[in-house]
Amino acid sequence: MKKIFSIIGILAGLILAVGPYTFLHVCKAMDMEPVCGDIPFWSLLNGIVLILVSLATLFIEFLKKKLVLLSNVFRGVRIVNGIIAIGLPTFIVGVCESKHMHCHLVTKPALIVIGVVVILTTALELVVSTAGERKQ
Amino acid sequence: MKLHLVFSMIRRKKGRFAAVLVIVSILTFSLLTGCVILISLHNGIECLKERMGADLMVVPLGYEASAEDILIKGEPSYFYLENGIYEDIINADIIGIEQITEQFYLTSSNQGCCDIPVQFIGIDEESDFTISPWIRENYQSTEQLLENGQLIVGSDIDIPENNTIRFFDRDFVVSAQLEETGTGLDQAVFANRDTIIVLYQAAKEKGFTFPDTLDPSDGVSSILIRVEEGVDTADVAHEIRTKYDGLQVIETSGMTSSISSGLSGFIILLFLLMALLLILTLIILKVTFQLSILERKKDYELMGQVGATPAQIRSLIFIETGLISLAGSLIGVLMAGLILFPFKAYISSVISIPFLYPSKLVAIGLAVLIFGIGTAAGPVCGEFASRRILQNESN
Repeated sequence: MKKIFSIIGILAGLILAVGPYTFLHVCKAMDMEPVCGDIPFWSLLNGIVLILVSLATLFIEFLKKKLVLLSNVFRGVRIVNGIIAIGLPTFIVGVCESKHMHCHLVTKPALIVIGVVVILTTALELVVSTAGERKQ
Repeated sequence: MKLHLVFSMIRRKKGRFAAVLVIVSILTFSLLTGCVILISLHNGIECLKERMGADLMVVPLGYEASAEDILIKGEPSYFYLENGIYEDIINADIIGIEQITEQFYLTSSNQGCCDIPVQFIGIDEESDFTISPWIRENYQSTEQLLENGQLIVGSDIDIPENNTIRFFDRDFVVSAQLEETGTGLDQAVFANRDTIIVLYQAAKEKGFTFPDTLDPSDGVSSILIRVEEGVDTADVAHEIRTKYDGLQVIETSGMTSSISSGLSGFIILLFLLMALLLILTLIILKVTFQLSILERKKDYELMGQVGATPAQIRSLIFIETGLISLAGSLIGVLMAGLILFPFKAYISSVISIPFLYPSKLVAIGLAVLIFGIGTAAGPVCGEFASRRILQNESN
């Protein structure tokens, strides 16, 4: 059951890393650098970190020895990844002002939705694992 | 105790629990998404009809599509009628014309990477009966909203903090912003005749080309006509067409009805799909719960032997099916919310017909209603499934 949350984390990380360079692309630079221009790079870093911590959490799930503290630290990092995903198009980097630019129409809502999904699933995972540990 | 039992039952059959969860999620997701899309399409058409204001729109021959694009899709365009046509129609004393006004169109260019062209609409405040009443709906102050150098912008135009907006390297004060209509007018900028002349000169300096014969002080892009009550719009349109060459007379009711009729097939299909999905889900849930109860028949018999009444067993099934439906509905509604609302602008731009989302209150009401339907689906199907089996057992 808990493994599914790590898998969701890996998938979200992949979208965060690759999306802003492909289907969630930001505005193209013409005569000046767009505000949203830095999003792909920071999203790539954020996505890679999310993939790594999700893989680590998944690996711990397969271990017989339960590393509760380490798992929780990784889950904390994933929540931070989610907050960064929401923050990149809003308060960290930002997007172009016009509501009809691609970064405003697609990139921003997509990153926010991915961030919300990462935070919600990680929080749910924390609740499930804490309940499981209490039982044991 | 009951909850503990229910959770242990769910834990024993995780696969089935997940399958039912997915089915209920899909049902609530599709119902909510479908309802919001249907309401938005309806709102968009109604708003277009309401905001059109005029019964007839006169544009240069061959520019019907451009005029529709401005009003419906918000695709900027500019075109001009021959000089003097507006005055000619006024002086021709055509029977049935109640009100007549003119508009002057301009567009801005893509400035750099982060701007899109906008539609400028110059209105004659004295004769205007299309935009002004709409402006007055939101701004009931008696002061004039469109003074020289001032603009009124549609809901999609971003207003900088200092209320000053820059077009063609000139600053203009934004005096008001209109409420959302879901039509192309959300991306338009309105100005009076003097301001539109300033914009025209600035556009010309920036390299925009206009017909040599065009005089911006009395140039006209479109003529809007309101027809007297009881007079056939088609008769007035016919008279204008026969009197003047080179004009395209558009009946605005035809514009909205063509969109409505084009959409009607899609709306019926969406309704049918939603109804089919609801019926299919109910059948699947009933069969799934029936199988699940049959499979655990021995467990229930054992419970009966240790003193559990059929009502207690039924309430156990009720809680189990209710919990699964509740979780599934919650996921479905959350997913629909996460797609519909953050991607609102993108969906509107892709659909490219008047599309106006329901108000927050209506959206919340719909979400609660569909969440309720999804949550009730499980227990209702569970009850039908359990009743027969448990009745047979007691017989």
